Amino acid sequence: MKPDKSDKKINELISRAIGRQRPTFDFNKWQADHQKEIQTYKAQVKKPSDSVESSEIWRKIMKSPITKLAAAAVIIITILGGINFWPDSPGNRKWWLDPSAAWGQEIIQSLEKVKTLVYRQRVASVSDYGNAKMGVGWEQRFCSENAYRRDSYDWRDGTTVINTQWVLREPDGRTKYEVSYEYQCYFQDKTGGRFYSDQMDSFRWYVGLLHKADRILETKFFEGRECVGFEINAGKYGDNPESQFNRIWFDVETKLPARIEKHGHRSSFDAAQAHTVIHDQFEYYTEVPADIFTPQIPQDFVNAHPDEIRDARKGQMTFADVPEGLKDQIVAAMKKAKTMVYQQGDMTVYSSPNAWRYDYYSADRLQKSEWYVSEQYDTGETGFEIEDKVLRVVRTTVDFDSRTYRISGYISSRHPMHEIVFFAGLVDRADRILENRIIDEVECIGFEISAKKYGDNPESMIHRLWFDADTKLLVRMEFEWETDKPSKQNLKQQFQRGQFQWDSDLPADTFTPAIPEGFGTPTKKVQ
Amino acid sequence: MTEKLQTELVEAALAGDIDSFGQLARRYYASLVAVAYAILADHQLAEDTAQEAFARALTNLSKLRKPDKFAPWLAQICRNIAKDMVAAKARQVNTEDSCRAPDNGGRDDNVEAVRGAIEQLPFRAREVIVLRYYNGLSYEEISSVLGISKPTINGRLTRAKRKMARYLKCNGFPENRL
Repeated sequence: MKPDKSDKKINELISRAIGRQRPTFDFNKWQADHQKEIQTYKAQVKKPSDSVESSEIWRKIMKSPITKLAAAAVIIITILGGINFWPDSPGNRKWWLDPSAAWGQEIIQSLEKVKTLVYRQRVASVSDYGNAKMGVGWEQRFCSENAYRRDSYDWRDGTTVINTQWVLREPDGRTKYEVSYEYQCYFQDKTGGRFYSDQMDSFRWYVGLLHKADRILETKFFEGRECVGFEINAGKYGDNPESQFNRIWFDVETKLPARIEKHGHRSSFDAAQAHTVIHDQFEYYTEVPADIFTPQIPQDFVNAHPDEIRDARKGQMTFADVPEGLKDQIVAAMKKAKTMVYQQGDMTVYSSPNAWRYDYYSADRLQKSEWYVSEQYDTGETGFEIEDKVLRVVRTTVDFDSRTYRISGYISSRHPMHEIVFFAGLVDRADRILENRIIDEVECIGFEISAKKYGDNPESMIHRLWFDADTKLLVRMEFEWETDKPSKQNLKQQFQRGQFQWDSDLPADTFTPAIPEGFGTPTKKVQ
Repeated sequence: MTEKLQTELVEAALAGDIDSFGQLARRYYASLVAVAYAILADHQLAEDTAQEAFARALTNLSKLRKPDKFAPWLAQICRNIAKDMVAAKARQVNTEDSCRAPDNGGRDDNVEAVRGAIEQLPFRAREVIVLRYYNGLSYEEISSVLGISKPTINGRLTRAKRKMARYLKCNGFPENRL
């Protein structure tokens, strides 16, 4: 087959653009770097998934509490393997097209055999103004009829267990134990509430809801397994908003739940985004490993709730009495606006739903303009894992000084409205409500917020937000903090964003990149 | 490597022969690097992704139901890891000033234009172009890793190149160079 011959020129161009020497693979080095995976693989080979023996599996193999727990989690998943309840089921039949009452009952009966369930929980943030992003931190959860455990992995690196929680069923309620490796503390709490076995109950509940599914999704591969999904609007049950919906995916071969997605949960912290909670990597076991559900509290840890230690480190926080519902009014007003313009120093920012622009000035002379235009990004049939919204941003930069332009595409680049709405959503966490003030001839309500209330910001960082008392739209943002460099004369640093215009009459071409005639790319500068 | 030999190697690996897995890994390394590069557009990350894909494949090998579909299965694992990396990269860029995102200054214009043309392709087309031209994979190798026939590959390549040519023309690329 010589299919490319007629395209000699373009073949050469492509080869020149992306071609490189074929990489070689050093398997010996790879083996040396992946001892853990090789051991796991060897253990799997020794113990086929249908011969479950627990005596050796649950032994303690490491001394450090964190690594021991993490290693134990790996052992469960990799050695026992999954259970195939339908080994003889015909491979190609689309059983999910039958009424769910028939096969749903089969699933519930099969789940009765499961004594321990292990799965992963991750949370993706879905911006109202851009892409979805999977969180780095995640949880591994272990569920049995009488015990539950959750290992939380660090949100900064995703590799270290920072917190473990055990909840044990008691004759008269439940006892919760929590160990924070991050804050080196633990606490124990006994309550009379019902023990909730978490995901197992959810499974039964979801299966019972399948007849209400809005649609059956096309099959898709997760972790190399073909799965079929059902989508159910959460408004069909409970007191949930219509914007929430769930997807439950079943392994086509085993019929067992393989993935659950809960979409559209608004973030209580960031008003500009929602969350998608994903449960996956389900493993089903027929035994209950005692050690996994036995709380292990390091001897030198102090008895305190992690929140107490964290709050003590951050210093006292004060909260003003912000009227209920005011934050929602402010956020709703800004989200309703189609366009926004503001000034920050020598920069003017223009924003619309699908495009934004920065103009940089020096002494009233326009030096540079940057346009960001977002468009749908095709990541293929299987898609980005959170495939509902994948946007790519194309940036066009025009430099009027050097008479050059540049066009480049990125998957990321944060929409300016996201940050604005994020800050506006903090008003219900304000330290104090400021006295009304007239700014730009508008009567404004103001809030002062300490930035230590989110992230790892320093004690000294303060935001002041001023909103139009009537329209609730943002009028000015002030940022203030103290530099940690004593050599600087002015220790206090500040900047502000102001002269906001909402839904103003912008020229039609505001968001259309305009490259002046005669401008070239940086390597081909036109004199 | 014949399909029969490949299946035998997969079955041997499933039975615990790590060297057989090694042979498979050597066989598919270049293909996986290309699969990852189609998503990441970064040589080093693409190689890291391929190696991580082997690690995940090895620990999940017992879940592979169809040994003859080993390569497409491996490629899908690789795509998933690469897409997670895209998400991670996006996160990193977002924490910085968007004005400081990497630029493409100083590179050959033709190269940039062609890369731009590849980037605008739909994913499937982009992937097949990268597989063919990034490491110079044969149709045989592409067919194995994508799990599609050689005529299908040929069709995809032809259509992809036509789209690229159209894009380049529309963006002022000299027609006599196409």
